[in-house]
Amino acid sequence: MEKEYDHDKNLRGGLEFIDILVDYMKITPNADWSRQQARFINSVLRTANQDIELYKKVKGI
Amino acid sequence: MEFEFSGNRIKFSKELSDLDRFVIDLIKIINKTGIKYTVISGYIAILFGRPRVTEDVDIFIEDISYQQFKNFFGIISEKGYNFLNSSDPEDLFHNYLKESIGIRAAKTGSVFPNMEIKIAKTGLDKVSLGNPVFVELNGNEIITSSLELQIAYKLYLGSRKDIEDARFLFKMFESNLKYSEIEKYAIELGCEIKLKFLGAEYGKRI
Repeated sequence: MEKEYDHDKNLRGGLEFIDILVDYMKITPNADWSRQQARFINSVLRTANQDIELYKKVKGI
Repeated sequence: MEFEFSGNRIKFSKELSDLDRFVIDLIKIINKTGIKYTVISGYIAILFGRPRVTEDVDIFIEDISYQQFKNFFGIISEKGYNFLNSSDPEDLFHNYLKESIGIRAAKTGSVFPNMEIKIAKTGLDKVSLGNPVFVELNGNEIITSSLELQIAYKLYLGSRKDIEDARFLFKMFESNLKYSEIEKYAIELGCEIKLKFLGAEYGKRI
């Protein structure tokens, strides 16, 4: 049987990850971290604008 | 990541993402109009390094007249942006902005990212606008609001993404924050029970 989604457990996992992430970011030079961050964001945004009409419909605009 | 704090100013440099460039570009346009603004919510965590994407960048502006909006509409159109909601400035102003519905500006021909612009209406919206924090990113100014208010507001919104943003901002800037301010705003928003999500460090200070 499929296990039920446990909101609290998932949130706790997410927050623990944020702590690890921030600890790592604090010791990583701005240029190194932001290069990685920019690559991630750019890769998502550059493939994002696929179906503009569908987005407008979903958003009611 | 290192940030230079001085009063209500935060200065830092980083490699800009397409999202950062989009925000900087639109803010330059807003600055040309003289309209008072503040960038809030999810983009602020991203600005300070959280590796996530957002479909929209939220921004509050002061209450403006139709003439001011028409001027903004003209400049933004010239610069290659349009509004996704409508192409009619009167419609955008009267049926959206004045009705507290956000209008979304994006590069013509795309929807992501877009900037959702709303007039600051509630008491806390106005507190956001009236307590600016000036972020200098690679020499570009981005005005946001008190980090303490943004953390409390993220807790109030309460989705997993929002609570993670709150924890991210709190942990990143814990030595620069006024804990009593976070608590004050959380009480005002009725979400003080969620302060526990800020983690053990918060617990030690209260």
